[in-house]
Amino acid sequence: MENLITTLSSITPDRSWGIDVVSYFWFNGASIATFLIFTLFYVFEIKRFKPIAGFALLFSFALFIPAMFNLLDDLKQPGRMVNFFLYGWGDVITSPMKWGSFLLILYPAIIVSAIYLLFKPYIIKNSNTLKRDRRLIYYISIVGIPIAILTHGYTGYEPAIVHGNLLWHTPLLPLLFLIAAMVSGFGILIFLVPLFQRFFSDSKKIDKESLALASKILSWILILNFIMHVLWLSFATVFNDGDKYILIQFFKYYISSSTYIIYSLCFIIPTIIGFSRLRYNTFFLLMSGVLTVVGIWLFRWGIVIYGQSIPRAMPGFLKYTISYHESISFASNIAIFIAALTFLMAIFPWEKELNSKYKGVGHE
Amino acid sequence: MQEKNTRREFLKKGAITSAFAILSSVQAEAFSLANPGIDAKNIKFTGDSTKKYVMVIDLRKCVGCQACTSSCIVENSVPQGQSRTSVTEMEIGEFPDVRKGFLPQLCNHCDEPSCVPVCPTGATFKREDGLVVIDNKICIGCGYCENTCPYDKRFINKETKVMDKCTFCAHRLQDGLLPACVETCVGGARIFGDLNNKSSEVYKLISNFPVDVLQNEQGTKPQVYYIGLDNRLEKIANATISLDNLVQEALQLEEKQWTTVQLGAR
Repeated sequence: MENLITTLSSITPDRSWGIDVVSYFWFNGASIATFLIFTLFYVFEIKRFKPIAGFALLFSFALFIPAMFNLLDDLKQPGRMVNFFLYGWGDVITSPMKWGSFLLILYPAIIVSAIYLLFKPYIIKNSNTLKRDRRLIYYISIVGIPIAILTHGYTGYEPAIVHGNLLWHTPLLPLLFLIAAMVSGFGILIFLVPLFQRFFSDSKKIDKESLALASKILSWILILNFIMHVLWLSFATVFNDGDKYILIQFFKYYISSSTYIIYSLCFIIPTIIGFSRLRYNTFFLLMSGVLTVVGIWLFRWGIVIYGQSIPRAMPGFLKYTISYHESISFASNIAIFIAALTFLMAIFPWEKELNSKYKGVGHE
Repeated sequence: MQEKNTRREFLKKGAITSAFAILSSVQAEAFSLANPGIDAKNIKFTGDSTKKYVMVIDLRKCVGCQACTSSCIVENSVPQGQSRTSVTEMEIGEFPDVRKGFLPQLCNHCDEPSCVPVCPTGATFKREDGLVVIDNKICIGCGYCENTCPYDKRFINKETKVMDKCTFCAHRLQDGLLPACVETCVGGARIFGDLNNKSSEVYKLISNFPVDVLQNEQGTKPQVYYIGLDNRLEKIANATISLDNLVQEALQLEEKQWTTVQLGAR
């Protein structure tokens, strides 16, 4: 039918979300995931995660800081940010973005409290409240788990409720976001923890056992990620109504084969590494971390940028070009993350905390 | 010890002063369920509750002259390269079995707009007379409403840096005038009026003709009705050629961040 129609003149519609939103989703997801990994020991008492817990907590804060900059930079009127908190409370149920107004305050408050309590014994020498502090960390973490899930879950809701967007409108999207977040969280830990342990700790020893376990769990999450992708895309492109024809064109002609190959490799290789003995090899661990970080970034890009390129009422698919401002913004974002991470790792005695962790896990 | 107390005292006083400064800077109308204009029952925000404005576009009369596009740009000072309304022009079939297809589009001022409930600041809202408008003093430019609009009818104004869209020329309605696009439509294809008024032209047209709306399946209940709508023109996946893009290339205009692509040409 469409062969009959030739578009002569139309207006290219505007799209607001660019690389800032891609990065926001990525950093937000990685932050909540590292916080959840922190709770694996402090709430669920999985001893193998003892040595990683302190890192995970500091990383979660370091990842959250650039996420906030993304959010601000994405606004066309960042000076009016206060309006976000002042007005529009009538839409608090129906606007997932509005949910962020309290989640993005509660969540960092929880991380900061946990960091304070975790490192307090190493900073305040005469602290006699160690036992009480550990109980507090436990309770704060329990409260933090649902808050962290919601803090990323709401970002998944944002695109998922957009019924005019064929790629986004699925209830699976918040779950896909959470799974993607866990993948990037484990990925960044698997990549950064060995580097810190190797180059910045006194022992210069990489905790291969814990990281290998993290890599194995990552593989299982990647399997879950794959299943979710199958569910999502099969319903969107095979068992859908008439809209599927646009999505079929999208997947067939819009996305290049190289994108598919890179995307698949970013997940297949880490899955193989995690399920094999390769997970005990530092090089493969680092590779696994980098690939999953890149893979999830591509997923975020696919959702935000490719998702917006799908036609709605105006004819034709759209192409996105990164502006100079945005490329600077992206570079700054990474710089902010490195600065935040360096700062946090410099001021908090993570090594003392790390050494205390080895007691009881057969690593003394 | 003395120094420690002094520092603590300093921080305490600093925190109290900052909190006081923040609280005093927040206006009295702060923490609104909607936005200050609606709370103040300003007529510009509430509209006339006795009316329900709708538009009918009779496609049998549209000649694709773009007079509506131009008049809207002039009337509302829309920046160059952006538009609140436009007429998509298509060719259907091939010579000798060929005809032109026009699809004028603008904000549908939906009864169940998908853009309004997602606004995190209450900047976009529906007036009692059916107009969906934006308070450009509140809008933070997050772009969420633009993405939720299934009709692609919202954009960030390049000059004001806030969300922009058709308002049915609310400022003209207030003065008893018709929207600029209706006023200038040479074929008389755009008809505007109050659906609550049974003697209005829009009421008669909607009652007497089979009318359609764009993408009815979205469930947004659009209030721009079409007579003679060819639903093949509603959603076109692959734009074959666009004069818009050709003009941009020919004049070597600055490349837009988002451009329309032809899938076959990739």
